[in-house]
Amino acid sequence: MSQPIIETNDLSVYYGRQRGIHALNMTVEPGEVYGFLGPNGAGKTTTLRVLLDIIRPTAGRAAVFGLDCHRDGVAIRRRVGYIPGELMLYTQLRAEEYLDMVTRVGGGQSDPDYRRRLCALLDLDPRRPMHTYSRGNKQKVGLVAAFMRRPDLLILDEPTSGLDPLIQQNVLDLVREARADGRTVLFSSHVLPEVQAVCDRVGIIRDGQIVATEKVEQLLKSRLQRLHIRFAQMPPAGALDGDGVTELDRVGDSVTFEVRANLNRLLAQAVAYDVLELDNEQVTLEEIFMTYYSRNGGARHD
Amino acid sequence: MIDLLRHELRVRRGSFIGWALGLAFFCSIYTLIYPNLPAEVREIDPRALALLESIGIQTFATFEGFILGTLFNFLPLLVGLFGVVVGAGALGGEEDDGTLELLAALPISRVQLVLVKTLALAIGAALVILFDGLVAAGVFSLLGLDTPVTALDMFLTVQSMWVMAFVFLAIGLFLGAYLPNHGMALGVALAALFTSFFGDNLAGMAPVLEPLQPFLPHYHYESVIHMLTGDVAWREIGILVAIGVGFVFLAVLSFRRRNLTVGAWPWQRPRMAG
Repeated sequence: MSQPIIETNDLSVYYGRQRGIHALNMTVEPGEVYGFLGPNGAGKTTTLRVLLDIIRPTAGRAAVFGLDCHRDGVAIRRRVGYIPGELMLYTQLRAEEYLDMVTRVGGGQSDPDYRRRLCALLDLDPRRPMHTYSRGNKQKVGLVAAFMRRPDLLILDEPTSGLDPLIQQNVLDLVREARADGRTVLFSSHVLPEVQAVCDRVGIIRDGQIVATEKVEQLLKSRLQRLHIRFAQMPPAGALDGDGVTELDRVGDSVTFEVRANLNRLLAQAVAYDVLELDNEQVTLEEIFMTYYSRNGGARHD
Repeated sequence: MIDLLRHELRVRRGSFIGWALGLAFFCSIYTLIYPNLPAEVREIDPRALALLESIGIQTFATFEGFILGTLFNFLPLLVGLFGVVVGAGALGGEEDDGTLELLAALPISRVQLVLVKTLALAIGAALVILFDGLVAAGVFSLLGLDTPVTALDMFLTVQSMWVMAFVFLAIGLFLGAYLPNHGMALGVALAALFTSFFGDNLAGMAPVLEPLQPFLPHYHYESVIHMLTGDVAWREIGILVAIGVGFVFLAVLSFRRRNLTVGAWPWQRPRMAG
């Protein structure tokens, strides 16, 4: 069995009495794209920062490439490309000056052609001063900096944040390309469709702990929707409940349903009460996870 | 590490240029004003005014007395201000700005990062002061004053300001690494600077404060500044460089333990596991 690229054992970070993460266990295997999911404040960014020795653990151990994240931080970072979730750049520089510095200080492979290709793919003009960039263009600079050295491990914290949909797709293509090269990606995101699109496995972190790790196919099967239906004639309470469909709430002439399966049956039955309006509410990723895991006997630990 | 050094100089070039021009203006204005000083001002005997004497003003009757009491009296404060601002900004400021995380994610150690930043600031300070020394010496030469002071004396005395810049940039670096945020680091560093400057002056008026003077960088620099007309005070320069090196050492120790990006107090930072 090959050595995990990332492995944390009972990793904890406390700031005084305040918890960052608590006894977090996570394993990322070579060549996989691991989706790291969770609500704000759950501890995702703290975990990523521990892996890069930006934050030190209070207890437990974190290893990347089998090396200790604190003791061997320099050796680890030589093989890692990173884009932080809250990317801030040196606005007094031009993008190419910053990228030159990262190339030289970062070591590893330096391939000007690949860098040019990345800039073209992300539609970035690196000759401009970075203070003139929009948020999306700054994000592109961060992405080029992370990918251009072809690192063995990419740690991407909300990598598509601020990008337009076309460029987002290109970023996902770059992630797929990295996987095809046998490289590993830790992909932290709130956006379920992009996680589904590129990740092999996902882990959800909640209150500083990994509460679930699952393959994406399993996640897809747990897809949850919440429908608001306005009726001309209100159905009796619970009349449309069934396997995979639960009535949650009714206000005025509207009923809210949680739908895990059998959407067609619900719609067919609803028509009998004269549907006036139908709205599909975006359900958060955490809700899907929590619903899925409560359905499967509660949260499992990684 | 030369690439990181180049980067550090590049991101601060605007700040260095701004400080160089501002300090050059200050040097020029005090040098230029001397020939236009009214006779009644030149005839003031500062020794009769304890306040003026206490802050190092001996006489306005000669150029060297005037320039030591004005330009070279306040320039150490302004150079210290430059040191505090760039020093606190290098770690604390970059952490608050979010750019320090980018450097921390590169394959360089924390010790290297602090040392390269220190070197970049020290070089930047040297360049700023080199420019100001050239301007001061140039303006002085243009005036053609009848004084034993030479343009080289002016230039070298301005260059001696580097030690004060170094001391206070090191204090700023240390406080940026030790305290939770940039604002607090800058505030405490400024308090240290003003305590040093005004504390030294106050001690000149109130002998009860004299025991505190050895702890004040401006007290040691008083001896250095008289190189304009006398010998170079190498011992005091050595003391000031040692103080600066000491604060750089403290900055390295603090930064090694620091949890970057979270701004915690030192006692809230996690003990390292393993």
